[in-house]
Amino acid sequence: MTDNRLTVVSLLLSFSLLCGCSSGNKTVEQPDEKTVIVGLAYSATYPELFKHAVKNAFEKKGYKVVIKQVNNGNMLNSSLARKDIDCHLSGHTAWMEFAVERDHLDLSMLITVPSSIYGLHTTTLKARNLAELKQELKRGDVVAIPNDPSNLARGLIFLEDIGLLKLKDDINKYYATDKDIAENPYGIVLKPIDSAQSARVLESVAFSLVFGTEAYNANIISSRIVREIITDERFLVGFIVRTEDLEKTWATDLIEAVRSEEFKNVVEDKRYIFNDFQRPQWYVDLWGIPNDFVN
Amino acid sequence: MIDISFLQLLSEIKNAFLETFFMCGVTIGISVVMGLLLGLFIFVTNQGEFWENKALNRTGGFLINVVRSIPFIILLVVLLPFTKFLIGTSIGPLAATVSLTVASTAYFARLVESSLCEVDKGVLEAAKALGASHRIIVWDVLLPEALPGIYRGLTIMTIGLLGNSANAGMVGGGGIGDLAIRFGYYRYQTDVMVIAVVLLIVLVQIIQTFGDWIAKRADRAH
Repeated sequence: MTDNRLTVVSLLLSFSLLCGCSSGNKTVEQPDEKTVIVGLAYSATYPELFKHAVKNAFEKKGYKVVIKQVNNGNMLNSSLARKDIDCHLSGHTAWMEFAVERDHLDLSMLITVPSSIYGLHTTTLKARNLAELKQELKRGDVVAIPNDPSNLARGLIFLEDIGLLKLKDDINKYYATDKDIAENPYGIVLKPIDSAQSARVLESVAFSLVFGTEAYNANIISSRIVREIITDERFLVGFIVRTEDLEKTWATDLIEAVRSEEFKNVVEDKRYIFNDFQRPQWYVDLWGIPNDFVN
Repeated sequence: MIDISFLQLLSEIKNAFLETFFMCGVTIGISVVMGLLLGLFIFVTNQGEFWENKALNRTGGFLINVVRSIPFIILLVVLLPFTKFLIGTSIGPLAATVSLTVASTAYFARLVESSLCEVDKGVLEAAKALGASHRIIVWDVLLPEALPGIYRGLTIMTIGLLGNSANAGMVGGGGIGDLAIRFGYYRYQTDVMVIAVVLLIVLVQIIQTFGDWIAKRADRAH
């Protein structure tokens, strides 16, 4: 009896050690000057933007790109600070500043890229534009809005910009929550939810604030009646790095790769969704392609 | 929308499968040994058992309860600094393995303890009466008697582990469960999600069938 058990235990141990050794050396890379580890979050389409538009241009400069993909970007800031990755493309400056302040990190935005915008989507109301929407809204209508801190604030700012509510004057708008509403003339009830759910709850709410990437994934672009026009570049997504790496050669080369013609061609390519994103000011200045979206 | 080609899809599925295999393999290897020892420890220090030690028993039990109380994703986040310290990075399948091992060890310890408690007291009494030393009672009487239950517990833990490993996507661990979440939840690509879920169902069927067979063999050996 003892022999059998001993065999089983040693088999299990050697099995797991084998698994460990075979894949183990792949999981901890040896860092060197020319290897750049990029963190990407799968919840939005920025992994595709990186892989199609930036990766080749950057690798042409002689770098080896290692991609670490997580499914939700919340971990990436602390991973960056912990030096598990060198940069990531999954969030905007406001979101980064939230994490920086909360966890005392030292991160900076290297360069912004064309970014997904909020869309106001509805399937339960008949309104097809903002004016009709304002006519149709009734007191008590439930409105879905993404619940993570910086995007919740951004959603509230968006609603304020289109005149659906008014935030308090004496608060920092970037930290606004649904408790900071001063005036609510249409009597809407805000329901913060996970952003990946924002497209799924359309049938249960009056309207939902959905990010462009979600809307394309869920194929609900047709239900968008108002689109966010970002006036504050803090809500533009970009490459975030440790502040100490801002002047490094690879960082400068990454900026060049983003400012390349190859990048522009992918962004403007009608086969992809990036041409629907809001372009950063540097991009508009460099390529002369304006953000001429109308509501 | 950017679509994924069939070849790319196959490669994603293959990678996911290897990641799941790796995470679960390492986790099972370590947590079986540690969970078995921990479960034994809790059992023999319990009241009325031969190494009765209230302080040790209560502490051990408390630690297991704490680990099992924490929602897995929180456990993942809480253990990140430790993971970084242990293996040098907090992203990737190996990083996910650290938290998976901690959670599975606590779970398996309780399952082992449960199997040990089921052992007929009469058999233990007989062994004691025959003058067997504590070591012999534990290794040659207690454990063999509890083996079918332990095998069943191992099956339960493995399948639970498969479910937990889906959360490994939070730290870039990948795996089949994460594939289902990535494509089904974030990308609305239901067809890929269905494939991933079917793969998981097949895996669980295999594990359960094998576990039942091993437990029955251990049963018959008595």
